[in-house]
Amino acid sequence: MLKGNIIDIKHMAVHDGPGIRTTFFFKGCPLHCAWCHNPESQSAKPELGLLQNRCINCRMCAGVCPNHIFENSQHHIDRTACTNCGKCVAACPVNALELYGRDITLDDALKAGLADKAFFADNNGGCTLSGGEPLLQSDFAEALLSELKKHHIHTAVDTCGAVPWSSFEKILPVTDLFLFDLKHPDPAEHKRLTGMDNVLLLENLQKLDQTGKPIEVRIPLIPDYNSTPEALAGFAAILGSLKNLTAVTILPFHHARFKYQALDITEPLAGLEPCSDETAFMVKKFFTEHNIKVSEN
Amino acid sequence: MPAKCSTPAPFDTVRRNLEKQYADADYTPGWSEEELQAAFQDFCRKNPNEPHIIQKAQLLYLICQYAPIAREENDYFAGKVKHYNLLLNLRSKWRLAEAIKEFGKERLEYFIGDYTAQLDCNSHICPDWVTLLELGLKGIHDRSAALADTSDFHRAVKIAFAGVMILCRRFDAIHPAHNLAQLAERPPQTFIEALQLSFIYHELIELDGIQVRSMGLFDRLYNRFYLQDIANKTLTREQAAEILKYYWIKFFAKTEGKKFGKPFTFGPEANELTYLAFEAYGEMKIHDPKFHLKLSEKTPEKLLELACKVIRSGSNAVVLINSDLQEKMLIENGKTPEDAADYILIGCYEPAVQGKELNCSGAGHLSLVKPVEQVLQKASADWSYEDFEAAYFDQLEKNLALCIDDLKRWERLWPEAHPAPLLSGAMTCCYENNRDVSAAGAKYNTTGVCCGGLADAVDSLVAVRELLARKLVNNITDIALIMEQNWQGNELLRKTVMHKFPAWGNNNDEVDELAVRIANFAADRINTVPNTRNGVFQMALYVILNTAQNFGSQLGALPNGRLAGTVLTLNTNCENAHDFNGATAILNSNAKLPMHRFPNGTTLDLTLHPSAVAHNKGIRTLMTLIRKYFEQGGAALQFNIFGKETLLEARKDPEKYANLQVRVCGWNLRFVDLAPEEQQIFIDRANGGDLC
Repeated sequence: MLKGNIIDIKHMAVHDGPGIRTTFFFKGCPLHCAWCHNPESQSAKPELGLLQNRCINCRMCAGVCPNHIFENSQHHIDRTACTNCGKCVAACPVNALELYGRDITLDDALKAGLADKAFFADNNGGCTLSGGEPLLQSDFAEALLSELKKHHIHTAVDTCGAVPWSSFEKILPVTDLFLFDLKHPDPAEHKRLTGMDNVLLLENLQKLDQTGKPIEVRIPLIPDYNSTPEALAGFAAILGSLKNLTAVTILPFHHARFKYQALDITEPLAGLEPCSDETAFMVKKFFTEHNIKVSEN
Repeated sequence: MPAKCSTPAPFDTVRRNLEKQYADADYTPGWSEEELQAAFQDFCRKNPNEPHIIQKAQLLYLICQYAPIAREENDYFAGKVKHYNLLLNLRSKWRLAEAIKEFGKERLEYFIGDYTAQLDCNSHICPDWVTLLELGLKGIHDRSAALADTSDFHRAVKIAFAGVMILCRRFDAIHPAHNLAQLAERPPQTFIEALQLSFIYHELIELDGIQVRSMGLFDRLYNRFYLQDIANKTLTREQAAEILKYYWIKFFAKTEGKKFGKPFTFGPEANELTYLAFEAYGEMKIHDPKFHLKLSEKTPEKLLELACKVIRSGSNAVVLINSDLQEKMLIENGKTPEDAADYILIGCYEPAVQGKELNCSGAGHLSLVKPVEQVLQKASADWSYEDFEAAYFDQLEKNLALCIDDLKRWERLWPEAHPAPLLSGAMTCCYENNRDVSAAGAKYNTTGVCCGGLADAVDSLVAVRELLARKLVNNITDIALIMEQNWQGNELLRKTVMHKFPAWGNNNDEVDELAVRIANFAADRINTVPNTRNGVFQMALYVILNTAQNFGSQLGALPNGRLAGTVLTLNTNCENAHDFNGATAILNSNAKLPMHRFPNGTTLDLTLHPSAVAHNKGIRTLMTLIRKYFEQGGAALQFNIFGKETLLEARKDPEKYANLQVRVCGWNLRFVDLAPEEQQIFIDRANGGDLC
């Protein structure tokens, strides 16, 4: 039985494509962006998260597993010994522990995807596969999207593009809209903060454009990294070359500190100031002046 | 001199005065309370055999003729009388005397939090606005005067309306621009006259404590006046908008924005006045009066879009109603299709036919969750969950029967306790039946039983099932003991229940099925049961805040984690902070309920974060949620749009957030006016799925 590896399913998502949507967050990503606001989605393996602000120090977790350590009422996980078995998650009475990454069957995924069908009908609402990178699980993605299409549901795939073109080919017939993330137009800069250059993903973007599928490009706006005049000019050149671009969405950088803390990972851009409204406004204005449609959110 | 229609003072410049003027009214000289009382007692002495209905009409007449009346300067509308609560006190005296005779004093004070049943003391009514506007005061007076010799009812109507006509002439002497002298003699002929007449009539009906709980199908009633004035070039659209603001602020001023809010109904079709009304209302950013919008396929998207913009801008006292469902339900409950099309919502959410129905919609209130406590207290250790559930339904059945029985006893007292000649006089059905509303003179006479605490009941049953199934307790008497101790010493278990157990409102079929079963069980035992007024009982599935607090205060701890004494969950909402799956899941759960089986009304409050409805897309999102929920069978929907952050800020800085509205149940209040524990309810609800 085909299974997907997901983190979460979010109903009534209004920022992941048109209309009201249900978004599936897949686990595992080829990129490791320094600003990532879903760090739990990077590794394909299950990971245990500890949400300190929920923890009430009841130590029920320690009762089922010795890897939970309490020192001066401070809760730690011995990550070297933790096997991500999830026993502690079941024992925690306040959901302070979460296991990121779970298998989901196609049937269950489809059931979740159809639950809000009534609310999809207008404005092209539907389902979005996001993550992480859904195309790292292209077989499951294809199977789920095919089933959704059988039920006449609008489908969108939010991708970083850094996967073999064959993965795109697989889902093309059952995908109505691509949300394509662009981080930086320059290959070296791209590699510096995501771990990989942008050659493959730009190639895929051009190929995707040839297929005629509508593409919404999404740019996480990271102050001083990709908000520079050179970067913007580079983005404009890429976007200007696309025939099937519906709009560009600007996603201003904000910290997701608690998520890094939950995983005991150091946030790479911990010291960076969040993107200001002014910067976001200027960038939107820049694209508008270059005849590129900017979406309203 | 009051402002004239042709030269309006800009509303915004006088708004603050208008808001205060009603409460701090300056009165003309008139009779004192003692003088009026003495004159009334003199009348009763000289006419010892007059029935209550004549006595009441006579007291109203005396007030109209001799009581001080308010000078409301620079106002388009007049109508306030210094009435010293004389009519209300008279009614209360009669009501208490009758009730003691029937029930005994002790029984009246007996309340354990299972149900309340009484004569509908805040009787929710919708006057016959059509007849009032068509015949005018004199027309109504004359038609009953012609029959005054034949019945006490017509004689009482004649006296009451003669009084109102005198009062109009008295007002005319101090406010000649309002045309009140003409309104005493003929039906209204202009937009402003029609509004003035409805205002003064509503004002006088409320003197005896009856609440006019619907100002009617507003856009249909007044559009002809508006269009005619526009055609005659005696009014512009802008002037009409100003007049409407002056009109609505009267209702706000009357309650000082702290009570239930006066309902006005619109739709489903839109006319010129519908748009004008929503635009003017939206500009006022106000929570009282409140707007009910009947929505069907006939409603233009443009109107729904306008309504959604008004809601998002902070005026969330707008209730959306699924009109097709309501009409179908009314027909199923014995109304003619023509009458069903004329329905309005009375008070909060109770559908009734405008001017033809006396729905005692708030007569009975019943806690769906009290039986959980009652049954746990007598549970024995060998009970399975199924035994417990069966006992719950048995107890619910008993409570329902007691409530309905009490209501019937109350109803029989009504003609003596609460005749209402001023209200009944305009109702053409009462005129034709020659009977007051209190004597079942209306065409339809229904009695409501409002069932509340659905989420707490469902989640408590589920919790009992899960506690036993997961072996977190030894047996059901353990649960009873934990409840008795108000969860003390079992805090972790309580947290487990609250965070990890399935709950109502998350589109979980297994849980929702139980909610449907409870709702159907109650509906089977309420709907179509004959009342004593030639009508039937009708189920509502909602609970207003006061009742939820009242029931909650008499209720011990519950298996769903609720602590003793706390407020019940309102309406068909999920428990606070139990919306783990978002707004669509709450709507999906609700859509499974048999909405057509709640002829006394139901509603859902949906709390949305502003980010979910931002930009143009947000308006489309709101429209989709409403339309699609109704397509699935939802009955009524209202919104609270704010984040927890905003509410916490408002608590710290009440002045800055003075106008922040929260939907309390059937009405809105300013958040900053709520008591801290009431504020907490809304903070918790805006908290999303985060319980910590």
